[in-house]
Amino acid sequence: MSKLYPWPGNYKRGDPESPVAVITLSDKFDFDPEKVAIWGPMKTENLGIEKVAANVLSNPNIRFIVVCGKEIRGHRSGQTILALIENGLEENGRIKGSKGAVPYIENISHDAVERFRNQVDVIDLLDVTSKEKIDDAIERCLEKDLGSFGEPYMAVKIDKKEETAFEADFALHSSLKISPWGKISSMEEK
Amino acid sequence: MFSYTQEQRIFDLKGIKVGGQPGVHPTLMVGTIFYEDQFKDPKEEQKKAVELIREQNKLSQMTSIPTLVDIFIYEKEEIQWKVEFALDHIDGIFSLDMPESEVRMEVLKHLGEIGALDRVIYNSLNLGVKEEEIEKLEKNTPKGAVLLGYNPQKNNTQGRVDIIKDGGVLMDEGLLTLARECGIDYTLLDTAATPFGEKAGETVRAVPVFKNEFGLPTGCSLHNTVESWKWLDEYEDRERVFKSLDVSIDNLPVLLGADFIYYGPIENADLALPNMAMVDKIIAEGAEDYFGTKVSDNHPHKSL
Repeated sequence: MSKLYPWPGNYKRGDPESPVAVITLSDKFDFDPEKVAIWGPMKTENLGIEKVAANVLSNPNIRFIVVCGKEIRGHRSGQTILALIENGLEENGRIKGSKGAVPYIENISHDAVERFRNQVDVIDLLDVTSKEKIDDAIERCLEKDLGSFGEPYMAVKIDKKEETAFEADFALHSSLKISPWGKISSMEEK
Repeated sequence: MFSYTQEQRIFDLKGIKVGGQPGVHPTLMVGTIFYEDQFKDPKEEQKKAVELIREQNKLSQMTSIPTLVDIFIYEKEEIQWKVEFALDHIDGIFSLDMPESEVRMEVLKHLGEIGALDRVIYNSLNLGVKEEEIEKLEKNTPKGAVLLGYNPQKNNTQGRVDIIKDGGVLMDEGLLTLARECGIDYTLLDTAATPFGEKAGETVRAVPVFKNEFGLPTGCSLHNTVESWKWLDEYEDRERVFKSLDVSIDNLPVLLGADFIYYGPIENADLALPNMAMVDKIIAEGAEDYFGTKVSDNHPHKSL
């Protein structure tokens, strides 16, 4: 497994050899760390899904994603990740069939998304909050044991800080000029 | 503390002035009702909401901070009663916050049928807008809209400007052109709060850039960024500290010229409005003393 992942986020980690990841959406559950590789909530239908995908791709042992818990209203992140795995992306990065507010994948490539879709089977327990049912689903995944998907996949470069060649006299932004008297104007204005 | 060379437009939202040079008009504060889990018992929702709106109005009068009510609508089933509630209990303009495109389209249809489009700020027109929704907006045009500068492809300040200006690489045209083509009069620009770790600071930086670029009322809802702070979840005295941070983070964009703030749940009006009155007083005093800015009459600088 890649040393750089998982991406920082609101999740807990269990056995990295486990084939199961669990997305609990708006709910908080704890799972047996010997049975689940990574679990946690997922709020947004764009950045949240990107983080989940990047983390899952970094660990090829993960072959199942259980999507459970109460849906995030408005964002519809649960419905959106199910749609992503089912339908993939449109050319402009929009997730096909998502009902979420701004369902775009922009920080990982289309290739990475395809690999993500191929790597995992999704277990649809959207709006299911019964811990017993969720645990049952995890057990069924463990029984299937699909094996590793191969090498870890680097979906993004972690160090993506932009080199910004601004001069020291840009107080706020390269397009703005602020006079010593506090007047804000465009750079091209005299 | 700043003044803009670019002319700044001021909109009159049925008596509430928003926009302009810093220090002229107090900051418009928008409090939201019907957040998820705001009320546990649906039967109590409307009753409680009436009290909260009354409280926001009272604090608005007390502090000279203008306010609007923002109403969350998640599902189509909620449209009719929530719009009816707004028309019954809110004077003037109100904001309708509808994350889903399908819901927004139904709302437009409903508002058109009952003749209430001139009462509404459409929150929001964003990257998620579909062709079908634009057609609906052309047919049933709300008086105002929040234009959300969220750009997942490029979330620095320039990317946020692009979404408003020309759509960047994700849209064929910018949200401002779309809004104008639809005939929306009041275009409020939202710099789109992002979580910590996702260029949250650009939400603030974008405020003066938007105002300089477009000359339109600009604001944001940075309380969403506070909610993303994982460290705070573990903090021992979280509830009390969270409330304080939730309110004080709004001071940052306003210092740079933000004209409106979506401050989150309306329950926080008791802290958010006095806080903003204090910030507006400082800004108005600085603008008046230094730039000779003419502060409006109904302003905490004069009344408090």
